Amino acid sequence: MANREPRGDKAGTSSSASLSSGAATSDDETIARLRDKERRAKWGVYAVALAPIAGSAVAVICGRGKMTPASWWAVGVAGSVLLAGLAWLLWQRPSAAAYGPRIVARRIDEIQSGRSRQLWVFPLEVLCLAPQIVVATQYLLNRGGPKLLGLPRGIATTSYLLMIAIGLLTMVVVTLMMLMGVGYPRTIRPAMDDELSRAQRTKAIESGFLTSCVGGTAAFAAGLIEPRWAVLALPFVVTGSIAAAAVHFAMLDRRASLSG
Amino acid sequence: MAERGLGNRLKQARTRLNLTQAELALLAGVSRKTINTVENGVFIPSTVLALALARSLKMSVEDLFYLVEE
Repeated sequence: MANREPRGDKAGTSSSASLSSGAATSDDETIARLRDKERRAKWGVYAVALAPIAGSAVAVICGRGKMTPASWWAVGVAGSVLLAGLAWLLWQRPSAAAYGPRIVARRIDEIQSGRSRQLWVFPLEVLCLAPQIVVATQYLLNRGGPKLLGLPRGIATTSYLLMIAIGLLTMVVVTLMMLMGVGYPRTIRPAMDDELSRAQRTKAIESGFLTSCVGGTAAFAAGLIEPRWAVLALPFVVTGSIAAAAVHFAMLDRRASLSG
Repeated sequence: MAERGLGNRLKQARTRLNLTQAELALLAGVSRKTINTVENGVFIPSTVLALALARSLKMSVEDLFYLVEE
């Protein structure tokens, strides 16, 4: 399969050769700058991806299921690293204007491959966080029974609710945003929502839907045996469905890159 | 009823014009992956994309795509 770099800007038929060559050089420089920024921004991605897992794992291990001073320290440090990572990501994020139409056209495969890599990583992260979500849910169930509003007020309850919210909602929202192609700079969005992406997304969402049907039925069956099992199973159903859709999308994208 | 598939002569037309997949993708305004999947029959393009590909290769859609009775 022929897969070499395109020679200059083929779309501009009316431009003279020297102008076209100048534009290509300028594009090359812009692309090099963008790649440099994206390389630096990766440290932010690592911080955002790894800090919640490391922090909550250390907190759970140190406290053996309860919040001890060591657990609070772990959560505090992880939260700071997460926020620092987010700030670094925002700082290094290239502006929408940096991605001109010619740049996006030349980098479309690279940009889409980046999305696929993220779609592999975030579901795995969600699955890593799921056990900690279960620990937090168990705590809340033990303290307040099935009634969320009947929970004792205090920092422990708030922290466990936050753990669930951050673990479940944030990661689900982030993965869905990547899958749907929203949250990217405005000029990149059409590249993330091209015809092939839409076809792949449809198939991926089918997988997620099937997983949620099977998982939801299993959670319901478990709830008939022991009601609290249904509540504990639901984080796995939600994260599993999202993970199935994301991983299927990434697999289809990889296959599309390889089949030549 | 017989199943119908879509065949294409995209690769022949592309190589005839001495274009790489990336170059054709740039001309048609799509990703190289799209060209790759259409060439391999993995992805059936919409009418709009079929017309864009035919225009980029200076061919008619009927010359580029054909029905395959299975």
